[in-house]
Amino acid sequence: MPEGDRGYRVGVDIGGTFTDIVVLDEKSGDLSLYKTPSTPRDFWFGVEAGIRKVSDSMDRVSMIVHGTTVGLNAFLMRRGEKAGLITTRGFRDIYDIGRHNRESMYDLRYRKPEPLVPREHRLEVTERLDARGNVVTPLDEDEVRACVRKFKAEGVRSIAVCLIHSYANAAHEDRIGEILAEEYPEATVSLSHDVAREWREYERTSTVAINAYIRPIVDRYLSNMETQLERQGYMHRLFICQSSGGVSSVEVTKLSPVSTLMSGPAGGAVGTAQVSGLEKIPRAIGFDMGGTSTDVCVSIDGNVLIRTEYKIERHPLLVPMVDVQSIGAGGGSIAWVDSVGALNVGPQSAGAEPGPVCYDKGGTEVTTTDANLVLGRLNPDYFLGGEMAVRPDLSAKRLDEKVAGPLKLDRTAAAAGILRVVNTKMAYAVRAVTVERGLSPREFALVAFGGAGPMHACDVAAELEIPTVLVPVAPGQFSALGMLYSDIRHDFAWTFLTKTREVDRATLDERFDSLAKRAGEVLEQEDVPREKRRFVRSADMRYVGQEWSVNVPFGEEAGDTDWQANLESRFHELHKRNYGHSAPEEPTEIVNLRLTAVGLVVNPRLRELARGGAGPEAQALKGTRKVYFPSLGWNERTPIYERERLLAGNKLAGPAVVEEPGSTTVVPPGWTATVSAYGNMLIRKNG
Amino acid sequence: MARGRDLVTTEVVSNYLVAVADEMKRTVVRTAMSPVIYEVLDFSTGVFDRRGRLVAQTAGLAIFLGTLDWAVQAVLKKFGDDLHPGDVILTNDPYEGGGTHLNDVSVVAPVFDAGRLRGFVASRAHWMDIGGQVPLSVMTNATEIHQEGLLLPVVKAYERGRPNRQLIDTLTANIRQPETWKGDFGAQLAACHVGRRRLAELLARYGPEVVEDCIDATLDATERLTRERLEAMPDGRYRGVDFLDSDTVTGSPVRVEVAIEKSGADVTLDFTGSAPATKSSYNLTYCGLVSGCRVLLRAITDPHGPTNDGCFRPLTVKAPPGTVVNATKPSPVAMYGEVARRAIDAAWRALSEVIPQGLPAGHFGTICGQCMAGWDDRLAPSRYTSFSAPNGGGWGATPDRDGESALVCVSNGDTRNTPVEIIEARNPLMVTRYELRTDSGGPGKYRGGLGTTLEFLVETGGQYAATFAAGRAERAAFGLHGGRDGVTNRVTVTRDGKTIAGLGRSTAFLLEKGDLVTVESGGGGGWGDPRERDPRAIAEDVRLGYVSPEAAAGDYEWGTGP
Repeated sequence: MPEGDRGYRVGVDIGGTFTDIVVLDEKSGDLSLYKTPSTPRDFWFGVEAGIRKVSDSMDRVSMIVHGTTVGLNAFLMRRGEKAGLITTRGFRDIYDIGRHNRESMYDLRYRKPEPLVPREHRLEVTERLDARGNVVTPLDEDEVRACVRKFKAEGVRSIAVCLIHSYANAAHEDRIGEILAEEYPEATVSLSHDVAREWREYERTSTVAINAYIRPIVDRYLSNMETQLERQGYMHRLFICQSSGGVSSVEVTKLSPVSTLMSGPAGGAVGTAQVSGLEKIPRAIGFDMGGTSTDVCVSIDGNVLIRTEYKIERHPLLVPMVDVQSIGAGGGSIAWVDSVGALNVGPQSAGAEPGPVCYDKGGTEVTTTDANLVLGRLNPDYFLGGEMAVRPDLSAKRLDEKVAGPLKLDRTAAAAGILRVVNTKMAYAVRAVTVERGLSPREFALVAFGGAGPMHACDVAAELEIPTVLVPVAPGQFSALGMLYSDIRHDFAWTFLTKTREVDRATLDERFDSLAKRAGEVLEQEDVPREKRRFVRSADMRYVGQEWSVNVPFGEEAGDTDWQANLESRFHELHKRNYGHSAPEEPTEIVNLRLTAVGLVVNPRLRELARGGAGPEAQALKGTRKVYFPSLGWNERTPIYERERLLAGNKLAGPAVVEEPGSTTVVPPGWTATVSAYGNMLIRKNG
Repeated sequence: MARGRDLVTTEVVSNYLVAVADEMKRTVVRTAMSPVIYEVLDFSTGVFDRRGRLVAQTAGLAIFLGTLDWAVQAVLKKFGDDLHPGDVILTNDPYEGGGTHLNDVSVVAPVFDAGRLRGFVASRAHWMDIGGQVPLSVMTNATEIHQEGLLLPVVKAYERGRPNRQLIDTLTANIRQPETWKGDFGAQLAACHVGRRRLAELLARYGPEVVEDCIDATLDATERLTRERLEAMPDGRYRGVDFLDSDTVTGSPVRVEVAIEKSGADVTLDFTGSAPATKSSYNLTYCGLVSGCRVLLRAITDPHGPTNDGCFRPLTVKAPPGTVVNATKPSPVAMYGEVARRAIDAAWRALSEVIPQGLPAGHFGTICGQCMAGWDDRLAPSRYTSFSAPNGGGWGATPDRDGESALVCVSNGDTRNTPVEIIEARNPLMVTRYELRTDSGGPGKYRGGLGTTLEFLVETGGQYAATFAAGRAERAAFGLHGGRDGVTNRVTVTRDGKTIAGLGRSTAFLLEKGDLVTVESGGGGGWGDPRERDPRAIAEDVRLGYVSPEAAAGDYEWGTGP
């Protein structure tokens, strides 16, 4: 646990192409940013070099937080471990049958997601529990031993166990775990109730199967990383970013790597909550526009919305993650004219290889980035801070050929059309994310980051009537920065179905206490001092008969005789907010109990900027350029500013462009950007 | 082209309209009270222009694709100028009002700009109950529509924003579980409200003329795309026949016949030759028939593209009134979906020879659902519970691979099963197995997909009954090009060691404690001669247990050859 003021905090975010390294001096608040290719050798070199630039020894590094995509990649590339599954007799095909839905309903050749464990490695044992957890048929232990023999013979070394109703009673799964440990100590074992103690057997099976599938690979990777860091003199614990936006120690992560799968967008989401809190913005939408996709999340009062279930390539996961919606549109999205003459953008992307036409790496498809370049919004001489050469002439040529020509438009209209299509598409998606949660986008600020976010944010905001855009410091490395603000976090859930009015408080407290005991052990293991521990109870509730539940904070007030009424009234209120209506006279039920254990990490503060006047210093103005704005047409002398040279209090009236190595911010006419004390830019619509 | 419309605006407006339909869908899912809506997604939402043409639609069920615009047009036909801001109209009339069966109720709201009618938003959802002779209003054996529930003949539920209390009180009095119904109806109203507001915002922003031009351009573009795909298919006249399992009244199979005339970029489906309407709930009205044809047309032209009126302009559907596929009042229609699937299958079979990459062989082709309801006497006092869900089955093999197993039928889409753990927590049932059904896939060079076996042990001694809707119990999914048929759907109850078979169409069959209910969905048809199947694939099937060694020996001559 970092004390908060002595050393350096390091955030390491590995992306597909680049790794971002952020080093924050806890004492001065100085921030150093590095980008390095994501190849393993360069990566280590980069981390070390990054740290060496600010400190001569690793012993001044107080905390390293690492966001890893190793587990995700093993899953996406289907390069996981040969995994096996033990399940209740009669149910080995649950994983194959799934929920039997056809997501593409007119597609007569629709295929379901392929199970990660083939049928031959899904073995059944005789045992059965009922929905209350009572034993209907005892576990046949000899059959478990037979499974071991079969797995050994087949070379299956990572084993998932998922029994019917194990969320209600874990005894049979635990016993199978013991037998496996005795008979097959070389194997790693994942028990479903450990990974997700929630009902719905297919979803739980899928969750524990993915865990088993990626676990040995993540384990090796993290062990290797620990060794490397140790060798370099790092003396503290390594923390790993979780999908929930929290961090966990390596030891805990190794048991449940499935909870790191979606950690990619989590850093940015935590950063969104942190920066909006800092700037006193109660409601924020995180808008992270990268090369192939745009991730949207919502933060209210400094808390990122979390979801407790999601899917990855249609494989369900019962693991909490920051509630991020991914839209298939980004800088690399391809613009194309279909056979009937309509202009489309995406969902196909040119990715990093070959990338947009302007990269001159063989790309022939016009992308959003090419359109931005043709319209003067991007500076061809300042890609990655000038480290990458680009060819606007190639963009223009392909744009004429692929879009302008077929549509009989001039080049400018074609490029502007591409941006308009992509901006409105993103705006509709942002709206869907908010209205689905009963929120109105107009009450939010848009926090824009990622390479392309600040370039598109004002146009997207205008479409949604969002009056404020916030471009944080280091928008290009914002995920790595966000990780430094993550608390240690562990989530526990327990499906417990009961009518709210039919359960006594002691029964619930007993269950919460048992979750808290487990959580306390984990925090203990991570050396979190008692005064830094927080346990947050909540319950998933719904009206009797409804399917979708609402997560309701569970009161701590022990001895409150009115606790049921209070809980229900909080539920009605949240239901109304989320769904637009409530029915206070209807009976409610509790579905899941949830406990979030938090180990508070002291938030580092960024150094404040020197104060300047309303007008930026002359040296901040890099020059002028011809830039196209839909409302103005070509604006010949658009001022171009260097972000690093702006001071607190500077105001920039649109049209203007602000450049920095990792990103470009476009301030359209009618908007004004103000630099805050912390260096964030608040761009507001005039009037 | 009018001033203001350009290619980019067209794309922006058409994306917006799809987003409106989508937001309406999200509203319904978020606010509905019944699992059949939020879980089974038995509903759809759509946006329409002022002439009632479908502009954008979302649907959870494929079969809902082609019916909502009929409901909107029925509203136009009946009310014409008598439509006002704040009006909300209900219809479930299968004969005149764009309905399918009585449970599916369309809620239609006109949208105005500057006092002029400019479009409609609508949603259709399966109401859990609409009155009639049995709970849930699902039955197989009605003899006239009146037994099936309330028919709403295109009536206003709201007039100029004010609720029509007479109608709402009448519905409340006739519908079982009116509280749940109010929640679901509320969800539909909320969706209309959201849709109306969003569409009005769009009209205000771009002006009605520009929006209408954009809509025209979008529909025309979709039409061109559909026609392009149709033109790529060989012209000709193709015949297809399929049969419903024997009629409960006469005992003979019910013929569904189609002649498809594909000429250039147009296609006509003529169902002349189909049997007269049955005297049971197995009938389809014209609107449902067209809907079924539209599902197939989407599947063979552009299954992943947006759906609007333009998709359907090349399609003509003919059927003599009074037939099982164009039933007239008062023919009952509760099981319309089963007839629609036979109509789709007849056309599917007809086209299987001529579609460029080939349609898959036939699939298990039925909802294969169970509705189980009654009293759980394990609780004190005993409690009424109900559970209804469809089952997935085997799909047909294609010219390049085996068919998929355990998927819902063609008329359904994103419809999910109920997890075993939830079934048992809520119902006096224990699921003893839920697995793929060995040997159910039709043999072929490529094998049909497998159905499932779902088995329940009844644990209550209270009054408890089940209605089953499993068609294709007599005629299995068809194989193609030498591939053999799959195995039929089957529902049985085992009581005191004796098996009661043939329950696939029973209404409110009384169950007893200790009964074992086995619902087996059928397998898909095979593709190509089984003797051409790769021996390694046969060995793999046997090893994995998809095919038993005995069946492999019989169907594929496996292990018996030289």
